[in-house]
Formats: sequence, structure tokens, C-alpha cells
Amino acid sequence: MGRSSDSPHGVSNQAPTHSAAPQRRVSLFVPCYVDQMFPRVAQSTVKLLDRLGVACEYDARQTCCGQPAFNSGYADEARRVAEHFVRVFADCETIVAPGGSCVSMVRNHFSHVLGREERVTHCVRELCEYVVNELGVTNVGASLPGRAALHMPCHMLRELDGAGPVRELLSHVRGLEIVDLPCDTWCCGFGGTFSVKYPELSTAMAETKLQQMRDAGVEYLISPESSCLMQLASVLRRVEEPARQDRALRTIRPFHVAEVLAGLGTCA
Amino acid sequence: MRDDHAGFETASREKVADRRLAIQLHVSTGNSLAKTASLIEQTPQWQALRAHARQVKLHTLTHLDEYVQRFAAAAERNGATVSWAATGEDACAQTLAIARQHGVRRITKAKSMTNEEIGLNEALEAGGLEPVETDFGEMICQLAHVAPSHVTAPIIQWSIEEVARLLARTGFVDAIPPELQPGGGALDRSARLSAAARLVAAARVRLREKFMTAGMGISGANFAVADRGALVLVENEANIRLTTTLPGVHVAVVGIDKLIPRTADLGTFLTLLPVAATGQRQTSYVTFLRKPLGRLHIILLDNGRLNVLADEQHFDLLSCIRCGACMNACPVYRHVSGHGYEAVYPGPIGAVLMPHLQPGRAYEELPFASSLCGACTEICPVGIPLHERLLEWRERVVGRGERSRLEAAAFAGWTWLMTHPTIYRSGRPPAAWINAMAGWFAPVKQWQKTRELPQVAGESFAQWWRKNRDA
Repeated sequence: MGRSSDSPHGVSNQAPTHSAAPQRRVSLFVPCYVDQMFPRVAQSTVKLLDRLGVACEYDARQTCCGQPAFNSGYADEARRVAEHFVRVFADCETIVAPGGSCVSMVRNHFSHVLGREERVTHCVRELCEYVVNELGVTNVGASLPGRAALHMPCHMLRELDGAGPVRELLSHVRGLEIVDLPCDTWCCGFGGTFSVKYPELSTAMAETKLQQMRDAGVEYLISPESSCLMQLASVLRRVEEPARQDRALRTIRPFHVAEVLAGLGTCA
Repeated sequence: MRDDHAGFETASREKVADRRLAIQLHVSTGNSLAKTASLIEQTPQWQALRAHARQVKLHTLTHLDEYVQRFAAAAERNGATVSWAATGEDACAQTLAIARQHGVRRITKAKSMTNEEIGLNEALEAGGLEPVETDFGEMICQLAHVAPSHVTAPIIQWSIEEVARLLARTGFVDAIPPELQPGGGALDRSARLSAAARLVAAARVRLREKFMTAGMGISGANFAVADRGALVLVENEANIRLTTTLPGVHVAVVGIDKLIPRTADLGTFLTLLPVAATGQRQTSYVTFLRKPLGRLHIILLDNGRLNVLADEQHFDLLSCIRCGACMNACPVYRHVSGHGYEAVYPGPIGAVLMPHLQPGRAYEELPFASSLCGACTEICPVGIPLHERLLEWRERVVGRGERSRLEAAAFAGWTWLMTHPTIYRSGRPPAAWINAMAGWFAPVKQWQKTRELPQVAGESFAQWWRKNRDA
């Protein structure tokens, strides 16, 4: 990093300027790939909500929202997984998830997949959406000095409330400059099974985005969606591995919004 | 389907390997999109217009028989001859017969995707006639013997330099302008544009001669207005107006999806189309053809459209006005170009329409070749929910059991696991199994072709929660 004296990973000790009502309780919905592959994102979510005075519950019977099957055309399989989701979360009032793709699946597609309306589908909130719209908090007291590009998952951009809440929260992160780029609204090329059906095309889509970020000289790539980050980080590493030898490319470090907002320290 | 159809997987891989193609496409589509976005921003009633357009189109499609009859009757009253073509072959044969009846050989052609769809040029050439494309982009396609790769910008993936080389090779210009030669300092944009203007001027001289000597003109139509029996065509080059008026015989091949009920509805569509297509407030020319100047033959074309109309879930695909905005916005299109789709209608609309127009396996892969980002739905000026249609196609193909048995088995297994949490939770930590599958499991192998494996944690969140929070 080679930056000034104060630690980039430290969370500001200054209390955030808000008054979250005490004893709010939410149920965590941790997308399957976050649970299995990127637990730090969910740990950061817990840590952030703790700090904002929100108590988390977590039901380990939860698995997946069914989106992989739904997006691949396996409607019946998607329905069975969606029914399981509904059973697990049936009694929850507010469900918070660190990932907009699955939130959109539950909120916008469950009624079609299930063939009926379920109350629970209206209770699911993406993390940033929840913090800004329901807690009324925009400054969580985080700091991260440097320039970053924001990658919004297509589902959040086009099926939820867009980038508003995420941008709002990041704009209050001390020292962080979000660089606006033409590629901000472009897909990362993941698209679930698309990424393994058409690896070259999927990767080219990611590379087109990353090249624009490199040209803009950003240090971080921040996204509220782990699946996009998985795609972008995997492409970044393949491209950068050979280049790192001769320092021809600067490294872009990928982070989930939750990690940035919780402070990038350990989450134990 | 053409004989050299390789399938999207192969064709797209070849296109993706050419990074210059993606760069060129991003520049061209990006320019167009930026202009479109800026005009939409200046049009407060944009969403209302979209909604109105969708309403008008859905109404027309649900009463199509009535409007086809109304249009035909009004056009005949105006003095046109109206005929019906059930297939592309039929439309080609009728056009050929009209040309023979009038004893013409040279035929000027206005830009028309419907003509491309039915392979009209090939049919006319096979009949010993000389069809001449008069739209600049289409003319380049004809000279280069390639299909257009975009519905409104046929040579969107070409650089000015490539156009100059082709025109020099085919004798249209004496030499490549020096600014456009390798090392000719072509980086200066204004110099390149003035060189391009000289190329266009040279083409214009050539085309003028064709316009003056053609015995017949063929066009499509952007809109067929039922109440007045009128055809409406929009363009920037005036070649359509010259094609439809100069020769004295005009054949218009019009898909039945081009019908709109009333002249009064045109305001909405003529506002939406140029903004979405080329980022223009208005095109240079709007031609409203009612009373024919000479002979006018209107061929109303089905060619699979009635099958789409009969599809309760998908009939709204016929409301497409062929603006090409979904192509400009589509990240897949922007990496593989229209040619990657090997289809007359490429991009998102092509991916959902082609499997209807040409049923069978050839085009059923296209709906799967999308990351479902929804940029197409967002920009479509007539509000077709394209990414939902892509998804529905996938459900249909899967429902018919036409995906690989391995894939179906994988999803069945995955579904079982996802509905048995106790077993799901008793598995090994993910880092271990991801690496274990690297050598043999197809999806992981495919992933690794072009990317590193994700760096995953040694324990799942559920395990961490049980240890740290479940007191």
C-alpha cells in the first residue's frame, strides 16, 4: 500500500453518526457460494450489523435460493430449492443477505418459480439496501484510503434499487475515492453456468472491464456481489500472474462491500 | 440454416480470440449508446412513450388479422397491389416474377433486414438479375460477400481503414486515401473522417448511376400503417427514397409484424426508433408512401411470424422495431459481433427470435449464450422483456429434454443436496473439494481454461458460526 501512517485496515473509532434502534433483529441469508467459499464476506456482514446494533440470527438449514437451476432452465429443480428456502425462512420478519443476485431471485422471481405468492419473498433485503433504507445509516465509520472502481451486479442494477445505497455507503468511507467509469454498468461475464459453458467469452467480458479499471489506475475493485468478485478476481489472477514478475501490471485488489464497511481486519 | 453454420460455441470462440474486434465494437456501439442515453435523458416522456409503444404493438398483434385486412384494403384503394407470402421462397419467387413481368435486370435495393432474412439477393442473382445494395453499409457487405452483422449498422465491426481497402480493391476508388494507409498518421480523428467523406463521395457517384439506370426498386418497411395503407421508411442516406421512387416499379417486402393501426400512432414510434437505433432525435429522411408514383407491389410476409403469434408467452417478440439497441447494449454481442451468432437477426432479439423463425437445434443454443445481464431489456424501446424470454427459452429446451444428460443429472444431484441440509452441512470444507475436482470435473476444468480457481476458505460460514456465535 505504501500509504500514510494510519492503518488502512483499521475501523475508525469515531462512533458513526446515527442512532440505530437497539435490539433490532434480522435473519441472515448467506448465499451458498458466500457460505462455502467466501465466508469472510458473511463474517464482515455480522460484524457490521453488530456494530450498528443489529442482532443476527442464522439458521444453518439454509442452502441456496435456486438461482443456478432457474437461470439454466431447470424450473422444477429451482422450485424445489425455492420451497426449501421458504420453509427455512417462513417465520422471519427481516432477512438480510450480502449479495444482490440472490435477493433479486427471491424477491422478483420466487412467485413465478413457486407458482404462488409467499410473504417471505417481500422480507429479503440486500445488505446495503437494509443499512441505508431501513437503518437510515450512511456513514458506518469505515476508512479505506485509495481509488476504487465499483462493480454493481446486473441483478442489483436492473432488478433491485440500483447502485444508490451502495454508493451512498462507500461515499462516506474515509479516504476512499470511487472512480466512475463507462464500464460501471457492464456485466462481469459470470452469469452462472454461462461462465463454464463459454469460458473464453465470459473471460473476455471480464477482461474488457478490468482493462478499463487498469487504465483508470484504480487500486481496488469493490462490489456488493461475491459471484462477480469471484469471476473478476479469477481473471485478474490469471492475467496478472505472469505480469507480476516484471511489474508490468498494477494489481487491483478485489473486495466485497461488506469487507470494506466492516473494516478489512480479521473477523474472528 | 447455412451449410457453414458452426454453432455459437465455435463461432464465438473464434470471434473472442480477436481482441481488436471487441475493441472496435465497443467504440462503435459505445458511441451510439452514449448518444442514445443522452437523448433519453432529454426526453422526460421516454418511459411513457415506451409503454405506449408496447400497448399499441400488443393491441395490433392481438388483432393482427383485422389490421392486415384493413391495411391491404387501404393500400389497394391507394393503387398498390398487395399479395401474401407464406414463406421466404414464396416472397422471392413473387419478386422475381414481378421483375420479369416488367422486363427489368438492374434492381436497386433499400436497406432491409426482411430482404436479408429471405435471401432475396441470392434468389435474384440466381434468376439472372442484378440487385444493387444502395445503403452504404449494405453496399460494403455486398462487395465483400459478407452478411450484415447488425440490423441498423451492417458493418459496425469495420474500421474506416478496412472500408477504404475494400473500396480500393473493388475499383470504387482509385487508391486508399493517404491518411488511411498504414503509418499514414491516421490517428487524427478529423483527418480520418474527411477521408471517410471522400470514400462516401466516391460511392455516391457510383450509386447515382445505378439509381438512374435501375428498372425496379426493392425495399422493406419500418411501419405499415393500417388506416391509410401507407408504408413508412426511415433513413439517413436518401437511398431509400431514391430506390422507392425513381425506377417506377417498387416492390416492398413487409413482415406482418410491421403493422401499426393508425397514422396517429406514428408519433410515438418515430420518436423512439431513431433515438434507440442511432442516437438521433430524428433521421434525415422519413418517407411516407401512400399513393404510388408508378407501380407498387406490397408483399406481406409471414415466414414463421404466425408461429410466433400463436405462442402466448412469446408473441410480443413481434413488437420488435429492429432498432438494434439491444445489440449495442449486449456485452455478448460486443465481443462476438453479429457474425458470432450466424443468424440474420443477431444479439438478444436474435437469440430469442431465431429459434422461432428457424425451429430446430441450430439456434436453440443462442438463448443459453447470455449472462442474463438484462441490459437488452433495459434499453428496448418497445419494452420487450428480452432477458425473461431468454430464460423461458432455456426452460423450454430443458423441458423437452434437449440438454445433455450429464447436465440434467448434475442439477438433479445438486437439487437433492440443496434440499437435504444435514448432508449438505456434513461435507468437507470447500477448499478441499474445489481443488480435488480441478483435474476431472468438467465445469471446474472449463473454468480453469481461462481463469485461476477462486481462492476459497478452509471452513464455511456455517462452521464458523457454529464455533463462534452459537453459544
